[in-house]
Amino acid sequence: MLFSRWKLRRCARVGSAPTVRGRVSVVGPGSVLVGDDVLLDGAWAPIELKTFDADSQIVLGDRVRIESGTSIEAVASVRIGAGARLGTFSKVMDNHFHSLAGDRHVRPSSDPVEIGAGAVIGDRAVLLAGANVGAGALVRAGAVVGRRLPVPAGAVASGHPSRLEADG
Amino acid sequence: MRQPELSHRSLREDPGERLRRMVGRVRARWLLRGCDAGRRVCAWRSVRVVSEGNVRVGDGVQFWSGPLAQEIVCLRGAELEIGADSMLNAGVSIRAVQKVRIGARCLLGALALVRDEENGRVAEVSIADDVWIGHGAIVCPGVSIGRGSVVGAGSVVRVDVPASSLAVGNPATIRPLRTQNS
Repeated sequence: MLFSRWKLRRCARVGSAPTVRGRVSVVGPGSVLVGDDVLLDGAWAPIELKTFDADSQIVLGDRVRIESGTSIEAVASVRIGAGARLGTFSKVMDNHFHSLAGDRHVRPSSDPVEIGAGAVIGDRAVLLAGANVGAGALVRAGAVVGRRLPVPAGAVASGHPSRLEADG
Repeated sequence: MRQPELSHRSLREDPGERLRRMVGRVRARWLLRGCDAGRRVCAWRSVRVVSEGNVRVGDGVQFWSGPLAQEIVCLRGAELEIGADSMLNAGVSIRAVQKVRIGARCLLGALALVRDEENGRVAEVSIADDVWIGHGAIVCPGVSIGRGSVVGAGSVVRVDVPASSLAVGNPATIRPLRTQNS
């Protein structure tokens, strides 16, 4: 697309041949690093890439594909491996932003999120702080994966609370 | 659960934000023109408001900005109340056909849904003070959530949640909220 590079102008680094449809909001003081040949499809609903601190980092690998309405929020770091896909309205966050106990407006410590190369995150799935999705793994639509369930490479996680599906 | 007084200044101190907050308050006043809105209500972006019934928005309620607008729908004869100092993140949708009550100092995560009508079944929804509803959670009709409880991200709440509990899963299961290690 013609304006893709313009739409990604707030990213610290953009690789070759990015494709951006619709709106992508890149906000926050941190850095967003984008690899080669990424596809950000915000035609239906805008995509949000949000960093909160100066040293927060969002890293999109080569050939990453992100669908409409997806929101990635990084306080520490969110890394998405090469060729990974994120479905519509999926959410990736490395911090819960509010404390469970005491003052709800105190931000708890963050726990980086790692998505392996070629992993697929389904529509409306949520990856919470500390989520670790291995290479080629599949997180099914609507699943919620947190730090308690590391998804090994090639595994399939589904449901909420999420479980690993038996190999089939 | 004890909640300290919310200080909006500590959350956002940049002088540019101050101007945007003032604009946000004017915007909120305009958007909520048919409603009973309190003071210091702030809409950082546009919000879809349908107020055919009785909408009450307490002091200091904030509608955060984000990729998707919030939606507040209150049909004819219905009652919708949002308590003071509650915060609604982007894409939150609250629909009242009969009665939806959200308490003070609640946090509603992005894309959370609160409904009191489902497939023709109408039942009041009541969310007490200091409740935190996670990203994309759904609160079904007839549910009441007790004070200080937390609904996990993506959960679907079909049963009542007592005070100070954690409701997680689809369908949500209830467990007491541990106050140590989050």
